[in-house]
Amino acid sequence: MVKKLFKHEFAALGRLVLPVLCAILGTGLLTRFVFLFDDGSVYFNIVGWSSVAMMCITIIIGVVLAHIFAVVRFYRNLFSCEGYLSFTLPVTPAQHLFVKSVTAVVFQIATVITAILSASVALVGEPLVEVVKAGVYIFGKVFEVVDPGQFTALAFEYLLIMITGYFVSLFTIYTCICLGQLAKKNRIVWSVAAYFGYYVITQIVGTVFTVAGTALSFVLPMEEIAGFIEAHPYITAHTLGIGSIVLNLVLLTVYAVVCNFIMRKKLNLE
Amino acid sequence: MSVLLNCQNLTKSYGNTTALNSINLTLESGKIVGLLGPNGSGKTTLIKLINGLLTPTSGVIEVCGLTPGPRSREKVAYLPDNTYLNSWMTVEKIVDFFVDFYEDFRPELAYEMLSKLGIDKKTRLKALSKGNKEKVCLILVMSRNAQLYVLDEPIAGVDPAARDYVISTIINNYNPEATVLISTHLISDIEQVLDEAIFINNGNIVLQKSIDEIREENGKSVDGLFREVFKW
Repeated sequence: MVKKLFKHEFAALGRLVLPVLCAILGTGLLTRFVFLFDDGSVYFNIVGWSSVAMMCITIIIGVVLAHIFAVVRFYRNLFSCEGYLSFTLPVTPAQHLFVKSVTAVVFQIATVITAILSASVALVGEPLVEVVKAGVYIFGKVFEVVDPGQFTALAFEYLLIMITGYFVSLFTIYTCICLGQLAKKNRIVWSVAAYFGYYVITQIVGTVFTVAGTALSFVLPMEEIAGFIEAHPYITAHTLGIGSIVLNLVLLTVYAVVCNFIMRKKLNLE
Repeated sequence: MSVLLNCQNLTKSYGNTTALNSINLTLESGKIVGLLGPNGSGKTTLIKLINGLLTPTSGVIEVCGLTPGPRSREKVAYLPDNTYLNSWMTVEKIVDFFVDFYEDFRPELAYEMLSKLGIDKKTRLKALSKGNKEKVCLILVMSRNAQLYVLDEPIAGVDPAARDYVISTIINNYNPEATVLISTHLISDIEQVLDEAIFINNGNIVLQKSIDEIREENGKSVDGLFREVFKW
């Protein structure tokens, strides 16, 4: 059933996101085409850099739109009239959550990759060569200081942090939408209120931790801690990296449990 | 005959409002049953509980011997009282969707009924009229070889000719060993096809009898009895 859900979810979200990806790639191609006529004139500079600006704006809008489409798809397919079909399929709410979130993440990654591709297409030729040379130079300098193996591991951890972090941001919105379903009326309004409440709570918790950390800095042996970090930079970096991934996974689990509970036990479609 | 629906002391409350009040109900296979009651009587609440769209406040509900969930949904074909299909999909894609998720779905039967209506499978749902959309929904449900068909107000909001179509589609295509539960308050149109009637009011089962018993005991039609029982 999960495979079939993926098939239909990819088709449904793809029909919304693929035109966005085409637009992103299209602006990259357009920029490249415009720069074929680069004659160094002031007039060309205006046109050319306008094209670059349009490409950048399209990329930003595209990334945002991919996220919005995923969230709207979640709401409409589960909590509007379509919910009468989705929740009467021989499928569990957990399967719905899994498929929708993974599909959303895949399309978001595809959007980012398309953006990189679009920028690469726009820079094809000498500019791209210069960018690659700059990248090789920078990495060369980095590897003089950082162990390549450790750098690769840290890069992989950072990628996992970004992916799990996106799952968390997605599930935060899913949870707020599900919490809004507990209201009798104006459920979208209550979902927005839930998100606002979540934001306020995270700000308060963040402030508490900042104040507590500042207070602790007067108590803890900060010089020794700084010395340890300096002596063991990789252990510190990996600890923070893995700690962030674990935190994201914990948050993801909590949000998924809440969503699953509401969808299984508290569903009441309008 | 097997028991397809079993409700024991089934209650559903929303805060201080009791939509279903400790009802006891059993449906056996091979019947067309009318779930009849005025607006707000609890018909849709019961139907949602059967399909797992609501969870009971207390009591027990079993559908085909199973607690409502993914496994019971394999055996229940449900037609809600609104158009629930993705409007951007073509008829062909919607049929493929049902083929994918329901093993008992008969696509050849669906296409046969669609062609009789003159609906091209490449048509997007949003291009169809409201009446045709509802007919497509009904065709999809009746193309399943389910054990329990649950139809929520299938003839409300359609013209008399379309009502005849809906009723004939139900009669001609359902699994004879299954049970069809039709919720409606338009009794006179549906009475001639019913085997059994359940009257529900204010969350309580008022009556559950065969149509013949109702006519013999009361000397009137089900519609006439309904008007008498539920008169204001």
